[in-house]
Amino acid sequence: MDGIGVLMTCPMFAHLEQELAKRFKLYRLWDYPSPRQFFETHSGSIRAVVGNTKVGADAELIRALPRLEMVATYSVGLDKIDLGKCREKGIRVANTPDVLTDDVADVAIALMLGVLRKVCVCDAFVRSGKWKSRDFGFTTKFSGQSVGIVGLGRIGSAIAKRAEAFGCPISYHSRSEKPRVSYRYYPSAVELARHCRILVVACELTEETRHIIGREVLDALGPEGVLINIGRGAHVDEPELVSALLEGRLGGAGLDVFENEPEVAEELLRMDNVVLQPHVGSDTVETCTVMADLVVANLEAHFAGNPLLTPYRLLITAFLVAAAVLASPPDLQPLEAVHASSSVVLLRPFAHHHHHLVSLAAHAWDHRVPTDLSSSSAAAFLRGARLIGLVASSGSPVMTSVGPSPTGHGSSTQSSLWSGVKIEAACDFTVAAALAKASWKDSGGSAEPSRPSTSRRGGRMTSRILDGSDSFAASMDSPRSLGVVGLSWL
Amino acid sequence: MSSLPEPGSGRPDVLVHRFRSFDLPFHASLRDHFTILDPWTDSPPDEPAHAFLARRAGRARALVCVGPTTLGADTLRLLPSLRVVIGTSAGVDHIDLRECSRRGIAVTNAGAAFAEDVADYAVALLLDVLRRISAADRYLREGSWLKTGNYPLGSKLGGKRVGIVGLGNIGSQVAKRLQPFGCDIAYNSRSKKPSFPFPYHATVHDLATNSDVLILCCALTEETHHMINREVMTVLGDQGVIINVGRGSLIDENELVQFLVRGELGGAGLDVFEDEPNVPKELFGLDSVVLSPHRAVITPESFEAVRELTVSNLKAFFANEPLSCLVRLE
Repeated sequence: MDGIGVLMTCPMFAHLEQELAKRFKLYRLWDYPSPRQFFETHSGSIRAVVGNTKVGADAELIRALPRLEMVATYSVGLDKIDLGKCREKGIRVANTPDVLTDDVADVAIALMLGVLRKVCVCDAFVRSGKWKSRDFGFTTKFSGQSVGIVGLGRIGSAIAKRAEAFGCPISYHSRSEKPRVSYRYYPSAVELARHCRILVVACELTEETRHIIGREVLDALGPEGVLINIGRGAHVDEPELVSALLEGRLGGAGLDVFENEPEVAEELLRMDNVVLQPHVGSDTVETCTVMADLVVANLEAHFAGNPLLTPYRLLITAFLVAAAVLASPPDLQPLEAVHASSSVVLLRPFAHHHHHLVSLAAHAWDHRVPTDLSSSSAAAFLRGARLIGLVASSGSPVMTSVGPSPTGHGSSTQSSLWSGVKIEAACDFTVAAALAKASWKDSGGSAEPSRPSTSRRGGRMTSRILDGSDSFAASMDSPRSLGVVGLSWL
Repeated sequence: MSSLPEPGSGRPDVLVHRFRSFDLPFHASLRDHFTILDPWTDSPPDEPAHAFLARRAGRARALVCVGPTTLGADTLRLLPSLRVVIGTSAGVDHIDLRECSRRGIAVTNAGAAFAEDVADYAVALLLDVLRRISAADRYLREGSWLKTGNYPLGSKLGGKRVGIVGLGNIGSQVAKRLQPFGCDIAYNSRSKKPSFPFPYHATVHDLATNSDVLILCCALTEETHHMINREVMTVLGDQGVIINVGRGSLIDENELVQFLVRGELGGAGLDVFEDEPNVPKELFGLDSVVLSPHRAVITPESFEAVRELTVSNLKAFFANEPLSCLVRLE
């Protein structure tokens, strides 16, 4: 494999660089005076790009590399990768999910302890020699303090588990309540802030969560409250945070991220009631090594023709499919695709009860990132994506067929969209009872998206390649049923 | 000089024994129930403490010893009626336990009242050392993130083998807190605790051989003095970390400094030192250590818990009821 050209976008981790250089012909983008100069000489050699959250793979880079097959990012976050472009060109994407959960959760707890018990201030006190002449004074007890978590994904849950061992009561806010969780849920960040002493930001950065911590939340947290941010700087309105701290409206803060790293507001640098970290959330030798090894393993798998270990995958609702391939009926809202970091992409459903479906699926398949898609780009969105599951509703004739159908709604767009799609699993189940109770907790286990291969009530397993004329109508036998279908592109 | 109630006025005499600079923050609530005798406030300025004790404290059956004020045999000898010493700290190494044992004087400590705060602090120090929290905070504040770039990598807590030395109140609370972090916990203690589900090692050396981190939560006694010595630090190794929330003299401090300065020990989080408030200045230049001015117990909640415990133990004593947190006197 050492003839395969791999481009690394910026310095990340020496171990990663070494391992890549051992196996591939490694090009370092930063060795060249400008990307353009690199492209002029070597663009034809590059079959894979290794990026991170500083320098990823934007449209310009992707366009410049005609032989690009894969982008492997040394991060969980994909915000620096033009996913649409990758999908369009059939470029596979791999990231490093899961491996840094523990490290980031550990820093959250370290920051809480650091702020309340003033560990860093104490250390400075001793180093300055002041202990010889005076005593330090009280610090605040940590055990038993109420902790509120914004975003109860993997990292949020890991933080909760740790804080519980200190006897901290846990509450949370997320886009929707999680069904199998015993912590108290609040429908807004402000409500959550009102009811906890320590507020931790642990959600993904999306359009919705940008500045989710603003003046209102900070005031609700209050003069005894402490804000911990291990998400992204943009989650917090930083000037508001600074003035809340300066004016004593907020008790303290532990921050690992800032809006404009590596710049940090001057005022924060002088405060005793804050702990500041230079974005070290996952910066341990152990985790960086695991991440690097994962990047290398994904690349090796791709070039050996094997399945990727941690591909970024998508899952799409039939609404998207139906609306994309059909001229959207006027009552359909503009499409909004919602990704999960591991597998789920759901469109915002147009029927109110389908929100339950969305939240259930989101819980099963973790957090989501919305992206706006117009219906015309949805087809492109589908094409080139690797799907592992699909949540479909057959609640109306329009939705009845997941695939191209002979019902008269068909079009050439439809067949081209679905050709090459391989169905992995299908299941069919009724959730009418659950919907009637308007609560997924009472669904009696009849909705189990975590077992997509289970088929009930007339559903059947299929595994064939749609050639543009197949119909799925047969697997959705009841107009009130919801189907879960697995699709994947080859 | 405060006016003392007449002897026999009904409120029993309780002697408060403290360094002049160590205040007992809950004097007031003790005076509600007892007649407090305090040489620093109750004796004439020209009367030495031992003379006051001899004159006035002859009938005192209870003494509150504000930790770590030394309570030696010479003071005890002046108190013929003494039956109980109520310590206000977790450690009782400043009290002459042998003399108390000889005289049949019961001793209580306040370990249970502090356990959560000390355990929290031990975990805080450990996280700080491994993840370089204080060092990275300094780095950022001095402008290095802008000038130099990313701070060097720290070390993951999950997967570390943590050896707890001393599995009393504090040690068991530490173990409880570390579990969700994914640590492998083992311990050494005076005796094996069958109810504790983690591996037991009969010696500290054995524990250190099988650990990446040692957390010292035990009392300072003749046996435990300098238990962390050159041999132990050698087997712990250059990635090894020591956290001390016990007493400074559990560690041979001179050796510790040498190991740290030479990079033969990975790091240390120290809340206590052999000669407080003096701290070896060689440590001030190291990013691998986190230093703390004996703060593990200093929270309002702990102080309140000690107050409650002190008052309740005194009441129990005078009512002939069982005492809590009795120290085992060998």
